[in-house]
Amino acid sequence: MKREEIAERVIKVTARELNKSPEDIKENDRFSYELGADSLKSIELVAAFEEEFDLDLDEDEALKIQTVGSAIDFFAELLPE
Amino acid sequence: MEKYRALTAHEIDILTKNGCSADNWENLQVVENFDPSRVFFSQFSGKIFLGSFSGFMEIDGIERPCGIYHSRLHHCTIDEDVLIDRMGSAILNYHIEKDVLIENTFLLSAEKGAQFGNGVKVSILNEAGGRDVTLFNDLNAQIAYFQASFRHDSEFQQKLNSLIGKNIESQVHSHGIVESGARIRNCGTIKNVLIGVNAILEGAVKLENGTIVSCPEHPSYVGVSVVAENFIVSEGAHIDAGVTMENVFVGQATQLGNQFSAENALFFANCEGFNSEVNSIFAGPYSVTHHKSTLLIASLFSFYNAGSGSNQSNHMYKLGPVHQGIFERGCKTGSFSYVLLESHVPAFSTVIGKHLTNIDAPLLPFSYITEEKGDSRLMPAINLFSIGTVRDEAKWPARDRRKAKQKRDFIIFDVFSPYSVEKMRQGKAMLLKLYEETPREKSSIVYGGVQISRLLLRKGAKYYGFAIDRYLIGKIINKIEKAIETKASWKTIREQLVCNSASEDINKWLDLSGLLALKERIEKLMQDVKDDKTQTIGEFLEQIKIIYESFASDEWTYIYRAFAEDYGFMPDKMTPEDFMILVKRWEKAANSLNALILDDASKEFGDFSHIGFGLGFGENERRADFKAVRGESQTNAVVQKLRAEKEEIQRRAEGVMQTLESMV
Repeated sequence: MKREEIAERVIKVTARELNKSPEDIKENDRFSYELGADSLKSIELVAAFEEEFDLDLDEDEALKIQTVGSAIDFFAELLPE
Repeated sequence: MEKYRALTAHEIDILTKNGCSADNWENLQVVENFDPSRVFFSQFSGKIFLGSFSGFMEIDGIERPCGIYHSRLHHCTIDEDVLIDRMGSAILNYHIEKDVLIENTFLLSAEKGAQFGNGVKVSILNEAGGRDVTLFNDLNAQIAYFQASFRHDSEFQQKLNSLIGKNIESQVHSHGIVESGARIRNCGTIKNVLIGVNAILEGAVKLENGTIVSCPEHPSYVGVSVVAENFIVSEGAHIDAGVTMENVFVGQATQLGNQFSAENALFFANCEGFNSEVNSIFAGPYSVTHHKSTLLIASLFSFYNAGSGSNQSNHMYKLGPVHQGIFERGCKTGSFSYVLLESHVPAFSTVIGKHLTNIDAPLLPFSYITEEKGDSRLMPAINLFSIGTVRDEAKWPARDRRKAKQKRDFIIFDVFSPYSVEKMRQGKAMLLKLYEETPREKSSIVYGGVQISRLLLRKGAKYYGFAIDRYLIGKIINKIEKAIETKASWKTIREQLVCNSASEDINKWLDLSGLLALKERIEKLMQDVKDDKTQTIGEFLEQIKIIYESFASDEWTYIYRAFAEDYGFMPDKMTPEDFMILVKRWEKAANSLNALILDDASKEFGDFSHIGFGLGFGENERRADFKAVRGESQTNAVVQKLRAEKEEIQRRAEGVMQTLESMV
């Protein structure tokens, strides 16, 4: 999958789950700081990514995803073009 | 029985010169070596038996001679080396055993036929009655649970009441007793109270119709400004600082203080109640409430922690205060949380916020129940990786303060047990079913009165799966590791995994306020009572003890059957290859949970945790201030333990895998 498509889907899911406008979400935004996801919301967000990309993530891998950009990179690596 | 004799004329003369009087000196009987010089300014009436007063007692660092001073006694037996001084009114109808101190106390009196708190009915859960528990000295958490629950079986309840009634009859005395070594100082009115061995009463205002069970290993303490009516206090309890209580049982090593008030309440081992108010509660072992503004009402708890301002409603202004709450073991309620009763909060769950719905989700343990814009939301399985849950598992057994020889409540401390794991197995299946049935367009579903995010249905099932795998496979690994130590062959290892139990309903477990037990064992016990095979409360307690001691073997039977159901192999029939696959599964589950717990613990050291540190200084000082107060993630004992656990998981998995490979 192309990085642009992954980025679009990551931002779409993030916006939906965190009640944000997609245009307000930047790649260097941290989920827990700039985007205000508390630890409980973060779990839902990971679940939403899993469903979006039809994946079952390892928990320790998922915990490493801290920013929107790192999420995009993470899924780009898992879902090569 | 002491041999008593009449006073001699010389002794009467000395007593009279000492300012003493009696309505009839002939009614005073004394032991052979009675010393009248130890009795001053006291009045005697009715039948009086006095022991010898030759010893001394050290009080506040001053050695004082035993004897009777400035007191009025009516119908009393006073054993040797007792010190009674300055009774405001009198001691009436009491047997004071040896080495007892009673001073500066207003009244100590007992009426003939008093039951000393035995037989008092305590209305718990339903404030209006219906689940009354009868107090008696040998009450424990399990007998109280039997009384309060299982009301569907009226024959059992009738027979159990009969056993309790017989026990209570044996506690009826013609007089009160202060047992040896007790200390009663600066108290007000004490009426119809049995005071146990070495008990300490200091400054209590009013105690009426109760028993203070105490022992040398763990004396009970009733302190300043305590007012108590209709109560039984167990060994090692500590009640102090303005506690007010009525119709209450206080279990072993329970601590109550700081103006705590309790009405119709049962507290079992190691509970703590400070500042708060409770009414009609069944506080199983380790129930804790420390804060003002907390009202716990009409609910069942155990291993519970109430945040400040925790509150429940049991009165909907319709048919009265009849609604009940079940908070299964290990629950927490956050600050200013509110739960509408009836509710059934799942085990090891945390309630945050105000809930105006009736929560009913027993199959979803380890959950967070939060409030969002007035809606109640449940996040299943999230507490599995709360660092708080991990700490709880370690702290409960470590904080067992009970020192009495006989620990009355039977407690299985395990957080992960057939009880909780079976709920997770059923919860997992239910969540997956709900996930399959819920269209993707729906963001959440309603289950048990609460909303659950659709996405968390699958996630919760996954987390439950980890915990189930870690428990079931982990327990098998434990056994295999032990066998490996003896260089056993695979055949021998498999023999260690045999299960011969004939139990049928191995998936049905009950939590009897601390005691986890197979339901079929409880039903058998109840049947024995109904069939009159159990004749006394002592025998009933022995049967409960047998169930407690059967936990390990029943747990193994559960593991064996659940393992076969979940993984498709009987543990004792599987091959090394079969088990190698499961070891990998266990490693993943254990590592995943460990990573999630570690992440939760690490948040305690994250940037948000630094808020308010280094006030008025820069970033460096802020971090240094935090480090000085809270330490660092790298050196924190809990975090280090979790990191070590991660290494241990890998070491164990590799060790077992190597052995299994050699057996292929």
